[in-house]
Amino acid sequence: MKGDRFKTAHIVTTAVFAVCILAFFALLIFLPKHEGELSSLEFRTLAVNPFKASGETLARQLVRGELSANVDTYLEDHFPARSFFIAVNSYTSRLAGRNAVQSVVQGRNGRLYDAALEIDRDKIGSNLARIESFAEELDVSAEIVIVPNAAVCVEDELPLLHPVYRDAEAIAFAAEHGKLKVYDLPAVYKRAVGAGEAESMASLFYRTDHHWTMEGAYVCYRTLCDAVVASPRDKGDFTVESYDFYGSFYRKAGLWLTKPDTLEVWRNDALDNASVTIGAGDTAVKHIGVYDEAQLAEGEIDRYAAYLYSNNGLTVIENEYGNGEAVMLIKDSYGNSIAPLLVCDYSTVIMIDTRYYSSSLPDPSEVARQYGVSRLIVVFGTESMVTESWLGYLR
Amino acid sequence: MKKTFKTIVSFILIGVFAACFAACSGGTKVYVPEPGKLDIAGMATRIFNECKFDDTGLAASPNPEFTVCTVYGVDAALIAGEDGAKRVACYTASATPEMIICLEAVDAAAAQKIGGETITSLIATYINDYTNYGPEQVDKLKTHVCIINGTYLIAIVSADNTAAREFANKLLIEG
Repeated sequence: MKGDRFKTAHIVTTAVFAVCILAFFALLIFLPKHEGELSSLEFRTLAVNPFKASGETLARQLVRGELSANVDTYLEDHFPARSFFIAVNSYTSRLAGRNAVQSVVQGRNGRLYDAALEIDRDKIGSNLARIESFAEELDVSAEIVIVPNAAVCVEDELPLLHPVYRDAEAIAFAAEHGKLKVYDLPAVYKRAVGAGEAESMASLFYRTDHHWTMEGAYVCYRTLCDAVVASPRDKGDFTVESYDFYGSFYRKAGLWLTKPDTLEVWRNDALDNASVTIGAGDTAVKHIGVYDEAQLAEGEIDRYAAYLYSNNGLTVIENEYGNGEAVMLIKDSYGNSIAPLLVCDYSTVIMIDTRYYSSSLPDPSEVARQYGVSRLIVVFGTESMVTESWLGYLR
Repeated sequence: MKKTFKTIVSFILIGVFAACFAACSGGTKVYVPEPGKLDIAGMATRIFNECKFDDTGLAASPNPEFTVCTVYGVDAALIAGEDGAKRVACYTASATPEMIICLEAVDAAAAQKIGGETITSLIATYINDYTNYGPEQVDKLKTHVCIINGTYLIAIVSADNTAAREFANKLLIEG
């Protein structure tokens, strides 16, 4: 009798496992796939069935040992209820005390932080040298803004155990070893919060994204205006629209229950009517208005891309209501949200993103002379200052 | 019975190993292009014309040495020169990471160094940049072509890297 019960338990256990495995296998085979499509949650392209390739390609993949990896990737990308299991993994990791998922550090109050960077002083030095050389060639005043990781400014939401963030060290090194003015943005932010010009340090950075918020960009803009003794626009001069925004950390971390950020779009007549030219020559694309309205539509994944039509090598924004002067902004994606504020003041804002520059575009110095640039501002996140940013294009 | 079975299995194993050695032995002569002989600019142009690219802005760099050495960081001393000019050709785009780099290095070790270090680093940096802002381009980067034969190197990021690899193989490996 006891033996019979034991045997029954074995049969039931085996049957349950077999049913689960067969069920998932059947779901994997028969559920519709989204091969080659952009995943709205993870913001990446899902793998295509490797067996759809030609026989010759399959043979080549087999010989190189790539076929099994490609099959693994395909099965991972199209596993039934993938998003659910990613979330289970992320939340159970958190319960187990591991506060980092896919390099995203989970803080308090729903805040996510980027991984800490290695500070390469040689790379900072070489990047500074290129910027200085470019500014000298143009014979214009130049300033550098290095936007730190939110962890440097929003320390009270960090978890108990967290990496050491050395962004302030990178900013200090750039200020001490470069010839150009480097703004100490953490100090600027502290003063602004202390003076009541910003709500709090937390309001200056998105919780689910690595960028600064419009408020964070605005505090920096005010500082840039102070530097040239110009009156900054008041926030009340703009009509502010708010949108839900799930940023880069949300997509990486798999914590799908995290509440969205609020992305603000600041509008006025100058910004809605500014002429935006992306690229140059026959392939140039023109827009009216500094915001890509399509990126603000319901269901759009990356709303930050609404600022100046995402990252492009060369963007020229012209405002007929401006002050008659031109400014050149050497930037990474942080520059996209501060550029509209500069557009309100300057007649021409030229954005150069060397990561997306190419030899088919005119030399930045040629563009600067064409528009009579009188000021050069560099706006980089710390990562762009400590890694390769293709600043060789600055000539 | 047991002895017969062992004998049969032994003969089967002998046959399999013999077939393996037969496959490895001898073989066709491997083509290694002669240094200084291939038309670098011509190869890049053929790749541009014959392979599939999405970016309509992809164009030949008027100063490929500047792009490949100053911007991408290839050590100019590793690239072969001829009549005062480096043997390098390059096509770049701005809206996508699509590119063509054809060059001849000073020797085979230099070609391996350029491919293994600088091109690898270039692709990794692009993957990092495009992951957040252009994820639909990341697959092109992950399946990029980098073929080295002798002193020659071809690197391609295109809309169809499988076909681009086959074409580059024809140019560089098959002769």
